[in-house]
Amino acid sequence: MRPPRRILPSIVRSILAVSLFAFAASATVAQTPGELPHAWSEAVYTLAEKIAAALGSSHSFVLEVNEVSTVGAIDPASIRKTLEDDIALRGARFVASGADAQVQVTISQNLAGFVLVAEIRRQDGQQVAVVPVASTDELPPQPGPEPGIQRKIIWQQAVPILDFVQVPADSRRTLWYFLEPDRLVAYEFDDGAQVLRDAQPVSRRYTSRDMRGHLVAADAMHVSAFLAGMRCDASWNPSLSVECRENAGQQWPMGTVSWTSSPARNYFQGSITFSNDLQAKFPPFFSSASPSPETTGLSSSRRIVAGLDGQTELFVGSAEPASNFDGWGSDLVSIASGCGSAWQVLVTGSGDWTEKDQIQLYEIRDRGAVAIGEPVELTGPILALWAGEDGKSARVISRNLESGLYEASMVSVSCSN
Amino acid sequence: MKLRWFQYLAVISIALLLAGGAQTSRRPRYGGTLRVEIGAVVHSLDPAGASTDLGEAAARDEIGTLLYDQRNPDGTFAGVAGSGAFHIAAWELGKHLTLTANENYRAGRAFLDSIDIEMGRSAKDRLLDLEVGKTDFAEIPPEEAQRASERGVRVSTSKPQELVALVFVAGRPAAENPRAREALARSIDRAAIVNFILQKEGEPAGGLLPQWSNGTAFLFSTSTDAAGAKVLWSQIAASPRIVLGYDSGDSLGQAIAERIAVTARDAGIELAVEPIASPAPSRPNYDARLVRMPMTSTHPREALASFQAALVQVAGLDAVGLPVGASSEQIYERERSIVSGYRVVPLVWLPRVYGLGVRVRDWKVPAAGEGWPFADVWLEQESQ
Repeated sequence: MRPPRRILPSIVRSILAVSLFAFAASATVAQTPGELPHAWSEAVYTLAEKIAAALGSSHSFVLEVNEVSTVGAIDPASIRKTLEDDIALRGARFVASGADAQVQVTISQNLAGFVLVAEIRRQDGQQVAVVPVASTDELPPQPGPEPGIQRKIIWQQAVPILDFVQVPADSRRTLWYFLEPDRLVAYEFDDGAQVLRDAQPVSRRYTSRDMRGHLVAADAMHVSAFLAGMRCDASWNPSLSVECRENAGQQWPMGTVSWTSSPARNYFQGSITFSNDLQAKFPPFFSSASPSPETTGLSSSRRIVAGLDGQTELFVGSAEPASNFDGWGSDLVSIASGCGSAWQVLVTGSGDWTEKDQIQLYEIRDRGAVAIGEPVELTGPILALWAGEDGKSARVISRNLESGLYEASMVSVSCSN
Repeated sequence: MKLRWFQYLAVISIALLLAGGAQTSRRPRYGGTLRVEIGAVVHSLDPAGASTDLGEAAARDEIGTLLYDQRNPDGTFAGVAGSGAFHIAAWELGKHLTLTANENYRAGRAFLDSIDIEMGRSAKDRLLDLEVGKTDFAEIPPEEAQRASERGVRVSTSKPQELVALVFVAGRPAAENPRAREALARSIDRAAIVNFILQKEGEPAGGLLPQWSNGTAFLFSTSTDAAGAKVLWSQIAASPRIVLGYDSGDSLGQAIAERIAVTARDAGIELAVEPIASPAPSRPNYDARLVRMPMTSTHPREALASFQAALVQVAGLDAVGLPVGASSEQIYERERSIVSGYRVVPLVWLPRVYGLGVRVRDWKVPAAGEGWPFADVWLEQESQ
């Protein structure tokens, strides 16, 4: 077992992720001249040094700044102003005309990110200086809450996430568990600040190109992970220990029932086992949802199944579907929003993983489904949609197609909208 | 415009698929056979086997990425055939290849059950089969992309990642005359090549790396300078006749070479265009040739190194390597030093263009150096 380690440098990144919305509001791309983000400011400083060295005996210069990048990442006027000041500090003088040298700066972009390219033309020759702009931890602006459905991004990382749970330990401390394809990672937050992190490997019996995994928290210190034919029980006290064993029946607990997984594939076999060991048989499915009797007053014999053939069907106590719903994606969950007593489900969009996705709220009325409000749009495909521990929210794993990062977010429904 | 019967069929099948909302899904589904058509005729799947046919070599490399798990740093495949996402189920030499999913693939079984690859299909036949839904995947020549799209084919285009360049052959009299090289380079109208021959499906190239790779391509001029070319050519005492070769069978190369000849003649340059037989003669009778060089990596240093290695012998370039971790500035300087001698004259950047059937899902355009990503592709309306 690995001891927990304090990781002060990565706290910055984690806090950044957890407090995304605070950053999102300020992470706009427009600056007034002279105000540059740190990474750009550093790049301009370095470029000014290179330009000053290249100007050599030339004491006056004309400066032009333009951009060939297709993304308007920065205001060229800000670059120009800062550059003029920085070069002036090194002895050269900016003039409108009649200069000894011409400096043309271009904001460009390459595989690694933005670059500043300076062409310094003097009477005796030409020189080119290229300075990369360090990528920053600043996160791109995120869309604000949508009416009806609210989404809060709580984590971003480059490694795929299969599932995550947040469990309060006491009034101050909260534990976060993230299930990745090869490990379980635990974070402890004290009053919003990350204080501990630990990770332990999880073993797999199978590998799927669309690997699915599920976390179930017994309490803040104990979680179980279900993935790829295995069940891994983890405890945190205050380091993380994980024990994995074969999940013989391939049962994944889903609230009051359990689903039978197909461990080498990405779907469930169709049999659903109730707490009294009774089993119901449905077609193989990607996901399934049933109303909560407590909030809807409906029988749990009603169930929606998102099948492998793209059909989403409603079963009402019968082996034959009572109705089917068109245009739904492959993941859905029931949600007890507290807004009315109807059975509500959150449903992903259709398409594939090369496209942006959405979550739409539906109310199931009798045998039909009615879309409620506007869907919340995501910047990439939803890879997992699991019901929250409280039944009032849902956990969403998605992939941001712009940044390539995997995002963990919580989705809830706002009654006021 | 009057549609033919098969075009009606294609339109109806696309409409049915789009209308069938219940059939759409987001999570990948297992099963099905992907039907692929390629132009090349592959005689051997041995990755170490030599081939003088560039198309065959490229196709063998694509198939290799499906059969082998990993590549060595030098680009060769590691391990045994079948260790990758697929293994060979049937192989009719030069005609047809069937691959089936490797159930024990390290990175997880592919979603497809199998892939059927039909070889030796002409570009025209591939396009027609895409239109009528007879195939799910075929590469389309860049110059045909617009037409394919207009005919209702689902087209997927990569970033520019293949460089077409004119390379002077070291030792040939015209190639050793710097003024002749520069005059010809200045006379070339890249915009005309892109606009008329490539039907705007490409970009003029002035450097050896595309703009997206190192971010400095805009520093290289791609404009034509017919007047300058004329002056330079007139300064050569005994103006040589330049013979420009292109690979026989490369219709795009031929069209580009002929276009170069037109603008060269406008500048007073005497230039003849000739096909180069395969295999190329050991003692070339041409002064310059057109080469098509796919990028082997998205990383500028690696891509430039591979171009440089390919050009060392034919153009007589210095084999000076770039240091590991070379900066954008160093990479630009190396590019500049190569092209400033006019032994290598970049012409245009070509994208790779793919035609896809309507049931193909999760297709992601492969980046430079990557093979067909068929392990991640799945098919709509196939049972599990």
